[in-house]
Amino acid sequence: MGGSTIQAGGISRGRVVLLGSVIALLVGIVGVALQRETSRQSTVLSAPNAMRLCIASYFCGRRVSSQSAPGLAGAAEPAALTAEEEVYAESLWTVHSAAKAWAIGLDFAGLLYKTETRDAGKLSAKVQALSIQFAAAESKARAIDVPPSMHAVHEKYLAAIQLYENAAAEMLKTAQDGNDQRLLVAQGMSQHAAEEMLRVGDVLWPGEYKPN
Amino acid sequence: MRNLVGSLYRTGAFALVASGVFAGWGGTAAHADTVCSAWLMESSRFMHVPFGSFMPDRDFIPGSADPKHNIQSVDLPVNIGVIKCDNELILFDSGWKQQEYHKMTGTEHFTPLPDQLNALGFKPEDVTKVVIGHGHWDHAGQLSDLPNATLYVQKEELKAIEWALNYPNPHIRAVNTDPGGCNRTPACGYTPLTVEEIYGKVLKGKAVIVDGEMEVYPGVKIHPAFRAHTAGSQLLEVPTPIGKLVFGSDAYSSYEGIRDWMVANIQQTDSVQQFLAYEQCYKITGGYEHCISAHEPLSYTDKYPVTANSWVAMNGGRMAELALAPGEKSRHP
Repeated sequence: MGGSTIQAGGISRGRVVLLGSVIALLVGIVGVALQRETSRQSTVLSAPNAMRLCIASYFCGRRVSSQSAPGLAGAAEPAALTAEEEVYAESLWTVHSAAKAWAIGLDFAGLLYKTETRDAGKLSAKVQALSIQFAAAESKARAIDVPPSMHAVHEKYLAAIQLYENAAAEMLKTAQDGNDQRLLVAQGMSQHAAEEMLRVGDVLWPGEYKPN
Repeated sequence: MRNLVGSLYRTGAFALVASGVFAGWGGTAAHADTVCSAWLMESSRFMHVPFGSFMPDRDFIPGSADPKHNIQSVDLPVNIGVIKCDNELILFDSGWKQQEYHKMTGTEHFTPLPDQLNALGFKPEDVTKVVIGHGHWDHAGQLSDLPNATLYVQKEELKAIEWALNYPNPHIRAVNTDPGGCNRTPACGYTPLTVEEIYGKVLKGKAVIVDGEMEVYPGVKIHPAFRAHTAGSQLLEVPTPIGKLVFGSDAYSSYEGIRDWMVANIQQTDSVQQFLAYEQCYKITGGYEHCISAHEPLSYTDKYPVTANSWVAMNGGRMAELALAPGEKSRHP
């Protein structure tokens, strides 16, 4: 009789408990979602601020810690360079700064030959001068003190310089025999060299947030 | 007999001339009425860019109620134009390529260009022409993924790249991947691998070095916009059923900027030239609504009406159908 009185008057006790559980579950889900959303947003928003730490120093060899910028494009943050590695990065930069400009010079020597001058003499003179520069860069790079932790990075860099030397040698053959296909072969080498240098740079000289 | 042969000769000559005239007329008529379809694809998105660094006249002022100064940061798409005119498939800009570059700039929602084209029902080898608005790293990447496309780049742009990257002063020749980056200085944005992309196209005989104005297909015209963003910036005028569109790359970084006459995304920019480039769009299209921006934050929303027919594609990147030529099927999924 009591049971039938409850059922006749409204929702049963069992149903109340069930409804309460469902509501509690929904509240819990919303709470977890909100918590994850706010923590993700604060992580992402902190990334540009963390990158601006680089503005304060010319060398941004020190990485921001993973705690301050974990959301940076989803990539894992490498460890900060040690003092010894920073010195190495600074030394190699003196080689790299010039090598980069010579690499561009190599590209434009080929580009101008192909689109404007078709002058083998000019191509040869330009590329010959760059060849000498790359050889000097390789010697200078080999003379740098390399911390053991950076040996693999250094080998990668040296291999890139050698690729540029090979590219220059290939371009000189174009100047000798007029075979333009050699320029294409050389460009493949210089592209590969640029990719390897980018990877080295990613370790030693990280860039800064600047959309263009 | 002689009269018969003579008559035959005269008749044959007349037929040849007449067929030539009619073919020419027929061809001219078809080209004069070129109407293209156009889509926009988001190559990637720069996240949380301070509005003031994108548009100085929209800088954030804490506590301001002025809608021009109360937005702290914006997300900027990197837009690529896809244009189909008869059997020609033309891209305007080509996004960027290296994952390392994305990592440096906090970019998200990147999808490789070949995959984006596939999603629209095209193949990268279908692309016949690619016009780059300028040679920056987020606009001239992925050229090597378009094997049959001829690249169109201004001679002025190549001259400026060579000048900047070879300049003796290390601050002027600094690029984004250098220690400390670069601050809108002349070589900013011309990273080595992007230069390689352009150079590769030239060496493969798949590049046209443009000197000023050029019609790349009947009715589809390049207009120089030198120093409107970079030294050799260029625009692309495209006839469509909804009227002419003008793709502007970063000379038209902001649709609101064109509407409100404000500079945007100043890099190697002469602001006077950027305003003149805006005026060019008004003249060509009759207003600002059909000026296609490279980085407008309102892209793919109804607040930028020409891009409102939009959808979310791969990796959260967006696409929009701008105009459909007669007989062209919609590619909106």
